[in-house]
Amino acid sequence: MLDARRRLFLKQSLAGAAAVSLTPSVFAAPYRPGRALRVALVGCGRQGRELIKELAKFEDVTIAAVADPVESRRSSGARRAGDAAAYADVDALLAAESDLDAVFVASSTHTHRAIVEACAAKGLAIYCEAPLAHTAEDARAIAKAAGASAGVFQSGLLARVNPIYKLANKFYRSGSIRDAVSMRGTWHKKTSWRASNNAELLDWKVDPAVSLGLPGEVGTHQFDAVSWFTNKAVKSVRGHGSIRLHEDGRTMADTIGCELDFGDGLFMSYEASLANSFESSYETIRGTMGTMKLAWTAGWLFKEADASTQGWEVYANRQQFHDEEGITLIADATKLAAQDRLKDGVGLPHPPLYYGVETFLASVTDGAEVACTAADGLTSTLVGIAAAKAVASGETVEVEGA
Amino acid sequence: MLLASRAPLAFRSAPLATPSLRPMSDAPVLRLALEAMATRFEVVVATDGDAVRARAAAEAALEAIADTERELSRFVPSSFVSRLARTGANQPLRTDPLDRAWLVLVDELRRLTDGAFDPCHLGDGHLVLHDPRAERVGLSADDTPFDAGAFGKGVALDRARDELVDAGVRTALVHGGTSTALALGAPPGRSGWGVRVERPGAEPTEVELADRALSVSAQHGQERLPGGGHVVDARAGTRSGATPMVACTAPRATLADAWSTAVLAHGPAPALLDAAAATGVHFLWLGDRSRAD
Repeated sequence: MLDARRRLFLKQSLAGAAAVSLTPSVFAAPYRPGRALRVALVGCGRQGRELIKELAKFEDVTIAAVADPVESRRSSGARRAGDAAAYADVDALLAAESDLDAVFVASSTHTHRAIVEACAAKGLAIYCEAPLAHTAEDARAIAKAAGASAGVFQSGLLARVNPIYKLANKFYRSGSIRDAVSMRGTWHKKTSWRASNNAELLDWKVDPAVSLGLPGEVGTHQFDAVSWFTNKAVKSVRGHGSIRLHEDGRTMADTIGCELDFGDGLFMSYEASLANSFESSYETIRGTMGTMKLAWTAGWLFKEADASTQGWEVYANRQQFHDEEGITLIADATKLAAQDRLKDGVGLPHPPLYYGVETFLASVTDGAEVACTAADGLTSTLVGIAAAKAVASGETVEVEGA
Repeated sequence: MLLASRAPLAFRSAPLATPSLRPMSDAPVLRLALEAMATRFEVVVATDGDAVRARAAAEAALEAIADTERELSRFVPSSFVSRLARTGANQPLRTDPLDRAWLVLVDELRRLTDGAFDPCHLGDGHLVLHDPRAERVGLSADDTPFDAGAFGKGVALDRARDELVDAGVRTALVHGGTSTALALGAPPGRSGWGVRVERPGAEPTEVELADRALSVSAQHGQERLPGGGHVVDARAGTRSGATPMVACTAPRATLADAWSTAVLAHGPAPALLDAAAATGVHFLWLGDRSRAD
C-alpha cells in the first residue's frame, strides 16, 4: 500500500503528464509589454468596450484615443478608456495623434478596409476584428495593406490564442482522438442584433448590403477554429436560413444552417440562431478514438470506449454530460496539479479576448510571432463570405482562393 | 473566534411569498428576462410605438446584467472578483472604471458596520483600496473569496438602467429576483411604477417608484444558515439576528442593495442610518416596523 505522500506525488505527476504547460502561464501575472505603449481604438460599440476592458489589465498600455461616428459611444468609450481623446473618425484620430504604437479596429465589418489602410500607411501595428471585411475584394485589400506595412497585423480570430484550444490542439495533433470523422459548430443567442438608436449606422448587422450575417459575423470564428485544428481548408459551403423570431422587417435570416466541405469526405455542420439561446456556442471535433468539445472558456475530451487509457486519465478532472463523461481540458494542469489545485483550473482565468490582446501586444513589443496573421484572417473571411452567400442563396458556394 | 458555517451571500432570489416585489403597470410594455446571478432579471420597458427599438434597448440592458455577472460572480474564473481572490495578499489589481464606485462603497460600508458587512466574510482577509478612488485594489490575505452577493444585483440593475438611458428610454422598470427593483421614470398618468412588497404577517404594501431603486433584504425565504436565513454578520461569521427585514429606497440600486444588506447584517444603529440618509437612502421598514410609524 502506497503511503499518502507517494500517492499524492503520483496523482500530481500523472494528472499533469499529458497537459503541456503553456508559456506564458495562464495563472501568471498579466503580461507586461516590453515597453510603454500608446494605442488607439476605432469603434466603441460592444466589441470596442470589451477591448477597453481587456486593455485596462495591461500595465504601461495607454489608450490614447478612440474614434466612433456616434457621439454617445465616442464619449462613453473615451471615458471608459481613462479620458482618452475622442474623434469622430480614424482620419481625424490619425491626424491628431502622432505618437501611436498600435490601433485596435473594432468598427463595423464593412468599414474595416478604409481604417486598416489608413493605419497601415502610417506603419502602425494593427489588431483587426474578424471577419476582416464583408467582401472578398476588401478582405484582400486588407491583407495586402497589412503585408506592405511595417507594422504587425493580427486578425482577431481567437481560437488560435485561446489556451484551452491550444491545449486541445496539442492533444489533437498527438493523435488523441485519432482520425477526424466529422465536425460541428453551434452558436445561439436570443437577441435581435438591432440597435436602440442611430439605426442607420448601427443596424448594419441585419443589413444584407453590408453584413455577412450569422455565418460571417460569428461563423467565421468557429470555421477558423475547426480549420486550424484539422489543418484543412474549407472548399465549399452549402447553406439555408430563415426568419424564425425577428419579424421586424428584416430580410436577413435570424436562423441559419451550413454544411462546410473540407474535402476527402470531411464535413462540418453548423447552425446559428438569434432566436434561441440554448447551448450558447461551441465546436465539436469527432474522431475515431474520441471527441473534443470546445466552448471557448472550457473544453472536454470524450474518449471512445475502445480507446487506450493513459495513466494520467485516472486522476483527470471530469464532468458529466447526460450519458457522457468528459475529461476537462485544463491549461496549466501541470502547475495546478503540483499545487493540488487542479479543479481551480477549470475555465479560463481571463475572457478569450484577453489572450488575443496579450499575444498582439507581445508581437508589437517583443517581436513574438503573430498568432493569427492577415493571411489567416483572409482565408477565414473568405469562408465566411462563402457561407453567407450559401445561406442567402440556398445553394452550394465554392470558397474563393486567397 | 469560532467561525460558524459561512454560507455565501450568493445571488439568490427570495421566493415570492416573503418579501417580494411585483410591478404593477397598465401601460403598454415590453418585457424581456434573463437568468443571471442565480435569479431571474426582468426588464419592463414602456414602449412608445417603436417596439423594435424598445426591444433593442431592453436587450442592451439585459446584456449589461449578463456582463455584470461575468465580472462579479466568484463562480466565473475570469471575473474581476475571481481574479481579485487569486491575487496575492496586498498585491494591487488595476480596476475597471465601472467598478470603482461600488468598491469605494463596499469599503465604506465595511468600516461603518465595523465589519458586519463584508464581502470577504468567507475568508480571513478584507478589501484594501490602494488609493481613494479604487483605481487599484487588493485583499489583505491570500485565498480570500470575494462574495458580491450583497450588492451585485444592485450593480447589475444600475448598469442596465444606464443602458436604457443611453438608448433614450425614459420609462422602464428593472428588477432582479424580486428583491431589488429600479424604476426609470413613471408610466403615463402615474407618479411611479407600482411595486408591491410583501411582509410576513402583514398586509402587502404598495410603493410607487420613480427614478429610484428599492431593495428588500430579509432572513426569510432562504434557509442556508444554521437557524435559517442567509445574511451573515461577518464579525461573528454567523447568522445576523439584528433585525429580520430591511427595506429601503435609494437613487441607485447599488446603494439600496448594499445598504439594505448592511443594516440587516449590523442592525439599525442610529449612526449607521444617518450615514445612509446622507447618501440619499431612505428606509421604509426596519424589522417589523415601518419607518413611517
